[in-house]
Amino acid sequence: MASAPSKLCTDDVSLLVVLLDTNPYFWSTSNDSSVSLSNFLSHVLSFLNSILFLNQLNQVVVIATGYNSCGYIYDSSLSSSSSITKSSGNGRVPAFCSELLENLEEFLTKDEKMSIEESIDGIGSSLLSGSLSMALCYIQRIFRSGPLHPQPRILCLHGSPDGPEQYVAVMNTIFSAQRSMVPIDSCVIGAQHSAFLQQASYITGGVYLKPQQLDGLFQYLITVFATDLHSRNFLQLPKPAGVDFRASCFCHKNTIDMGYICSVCLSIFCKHHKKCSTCGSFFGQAQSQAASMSDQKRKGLET
Amino acid sequence: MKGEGQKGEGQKEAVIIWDSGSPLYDSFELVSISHVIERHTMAPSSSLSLTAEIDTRSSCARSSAKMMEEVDEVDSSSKYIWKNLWRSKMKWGRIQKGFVPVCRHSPVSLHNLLKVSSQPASASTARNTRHGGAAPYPHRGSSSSDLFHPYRRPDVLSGTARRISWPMFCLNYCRCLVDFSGCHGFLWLFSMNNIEHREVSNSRGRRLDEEPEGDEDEDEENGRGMDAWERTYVDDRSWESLQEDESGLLRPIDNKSIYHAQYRRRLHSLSSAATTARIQKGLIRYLYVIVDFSRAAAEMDFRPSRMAVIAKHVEAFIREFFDQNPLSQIGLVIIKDGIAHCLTDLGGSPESHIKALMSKLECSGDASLQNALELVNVYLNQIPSYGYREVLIVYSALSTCDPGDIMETIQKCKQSKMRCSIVGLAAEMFICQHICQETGGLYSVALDESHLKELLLDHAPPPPAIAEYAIANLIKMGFPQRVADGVISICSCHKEAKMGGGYTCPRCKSRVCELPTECCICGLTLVSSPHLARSYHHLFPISPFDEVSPSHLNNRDKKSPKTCFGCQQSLLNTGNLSSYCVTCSKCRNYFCLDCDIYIHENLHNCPGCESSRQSNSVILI
Repeated sequence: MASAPSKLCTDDVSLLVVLLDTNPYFWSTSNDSSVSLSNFLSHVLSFLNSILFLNQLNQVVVIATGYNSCGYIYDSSLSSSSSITKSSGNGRVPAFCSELLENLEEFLTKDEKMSIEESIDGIGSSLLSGSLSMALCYIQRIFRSGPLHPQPRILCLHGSPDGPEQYVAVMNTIFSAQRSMVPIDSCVIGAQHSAFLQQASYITGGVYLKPQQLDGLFQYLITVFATDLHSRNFLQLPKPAGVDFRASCFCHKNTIDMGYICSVCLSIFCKHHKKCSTCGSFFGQAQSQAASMSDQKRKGLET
Repeated sequence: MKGEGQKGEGQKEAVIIWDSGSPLYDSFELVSISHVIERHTMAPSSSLSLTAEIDTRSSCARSSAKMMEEVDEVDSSSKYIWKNLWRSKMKWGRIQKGFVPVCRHSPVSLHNLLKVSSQPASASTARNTRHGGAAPYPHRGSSSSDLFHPYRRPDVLSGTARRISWPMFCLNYCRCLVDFSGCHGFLWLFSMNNIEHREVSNSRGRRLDEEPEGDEDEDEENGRGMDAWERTYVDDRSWESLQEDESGLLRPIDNKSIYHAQYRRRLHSLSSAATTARIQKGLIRYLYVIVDFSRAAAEMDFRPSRMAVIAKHVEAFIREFFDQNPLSQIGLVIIKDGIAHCLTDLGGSPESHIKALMSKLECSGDASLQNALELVNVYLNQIPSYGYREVLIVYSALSTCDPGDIMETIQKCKQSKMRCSIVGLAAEMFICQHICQETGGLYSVALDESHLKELLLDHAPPPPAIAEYAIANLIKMGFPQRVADGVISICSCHKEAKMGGGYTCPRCKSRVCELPTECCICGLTLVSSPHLARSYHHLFPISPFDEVSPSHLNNRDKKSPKTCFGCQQSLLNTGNLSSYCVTCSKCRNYFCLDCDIYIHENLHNCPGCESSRQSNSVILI
């Protein structure tokens, strides 16, 4: 396929935007069962290297998802093509790896400086919404570049728990990705499942995976996430195992399967209230009218 | 031409008037050409932001002065009208080319004109008094309505322009008047025409065919007046994609910068409207889309025809609508043969609406706004009180052929809190403006296909909530579970046995195929939480970014970034439009213009604000 004309090549050329979770609280709490940051990075770097070798036109962008900020740390289109294959000084690590690691270190120190809170309870969430938004902006630029752009996809390597305050923003990015047909793959390296990423992968048609054994992370990555979008049709990839689309009410955070929705702001409540706590509108008594209307409709159907 | 030899001696004078001096074209052809030009240059719409103004006062003053000199012979006033109007018409045709004129005239010239034009015709005020409410300028009614009277043909024609058919004259005379009286006169004349038409059809039943000068003739004339070669150029409209630069050279219009300027204008107008602290939007909408498939929809000024273009863009609109308003419902109504048919009932599935619309692509007969509004009013009265009742009319006709008084219907719609918006395809009409004003909707007229698309899609985001239009209420909804794969069950919506997929209603355990919907058995509204989340961005919009001039960008010190925060594109030499970049007022990050559009139109997140902990501290839920 490598010798095929450029028109055909674009089917297989992919742009992979990788979102790395660099939440320091998450990596510091990782125990024996999970993988350490340096181990994790060596898996990821090998994976990125193999992506770049799969097709010489493949492109990789790495965005760090920090606790206080997000930032681009690597873009393969900016570094010269020789630097990918050329080894760096000591002859063991490819130059692009050292470039990435340097940028990552720089980013981490900057991220640490921005921290204002001294202590937080638990792990805390990283800024997934920010890095997803940046990835989508970058992908839009690729779409604008011309008709022969590489096929973009996003891979989230995420470990921190979900931040409920990011819900609206994450949902916005998911719908935007869905509209531009960009699949969001997710590989969860944390202890528990991520409801955000489950929904993101389900809605955008990506793959959601929570590896059992983090020691073999590279193998998971290369078997599931390395193939381009066209080849995915021929593979048996992990199926979404039950995405929970039930909502949780705003008042008690219970998961409910029937509830009341404010007609103005669409807030969810588990029982009837007099006033909406989100938008402050008062509720009239029109429920009976609505019921009679649906009664009429059903009668109309029967006749 | 064949009429050349038939000219008698008595018509010599007419020949002088009508000899345009061109060896190639006779006057008839010139008339038809200028008609063609005007048809496409006269698309005045007050609601449009395009305001290329020409100062017409000086030319009008001159023409009115000349008019006063020449008016001394009363008996030749008819010739006078022809001579002068024709001249000024030609002049206007030249001026108007390439502009959308906003006509401003001194009342003197208008008055003179009307005085002259009323001389050959006798007044028929009785007819007009009934429609005084509809006509914005009733004082003009007495003079010009007779132009349209089928049997009282002014003597102007007999001696002069034998070769111009009566409806043709009628039309051109109209346009002459329009040239002088501005867009309102134009609209009003058309509405007079319609009223006349309606009266005819009401009082004499379906005797339209016997009318020697009915609408049919006018339509025929449109086709006959244009030759095939003309049509190619008219439809192509290649001149519209050109603009003149400072040195007078023609060059293609820079669409991108215009697009961005328009977008920023729109964004600012939207955000200034929504500066109130708490934004409430009508998120649960019940919208009827009324599509006009009357005879006028067969016109070919939009390619391949208005009908095809409408269908294409209404389809896009329906998809966009459900994308932005997942809990809302749409119904389709088409107007044809003077009757409104309900194509689909209110429903939440875009596919069924689009399928129904595409299967009914044919047009005939007249359009009736009143019938459509009456029908929709009945349907929308049944919906629950928390829903917003809306009507969007895509109207291509220039008339409405109604069985009764449309003003009563408009009042009825106003009482039942329907918001009627109209997108016109032909020209601005008074009655449409009136409907939209009364019911709080928007009226806009499309200039071309891309403009039509833009206007339609403007109606997709939810309008600001008006408290008295719908009562806030808690709606009981269910969040159904997905049925496990491999289970065979009968779905309640299609009454078919299906395997896998589908959702189970949590109250009655019946099965439905897709969300969001209403359970057919127990009537519970069924949604999934992403459907609700899809609407949340309307409630938490991001503020528009501030523009930064390029000089400021260059003068900034070294440490500030030179690339767009979103897409990493360089902000300094972006080539095609390097004039501006924008900055978020909250997080102070810089963005390129493309990202600006994407962020506000599609993403609804500021990447800068989202990727910093401080500005993200506001907890939304």
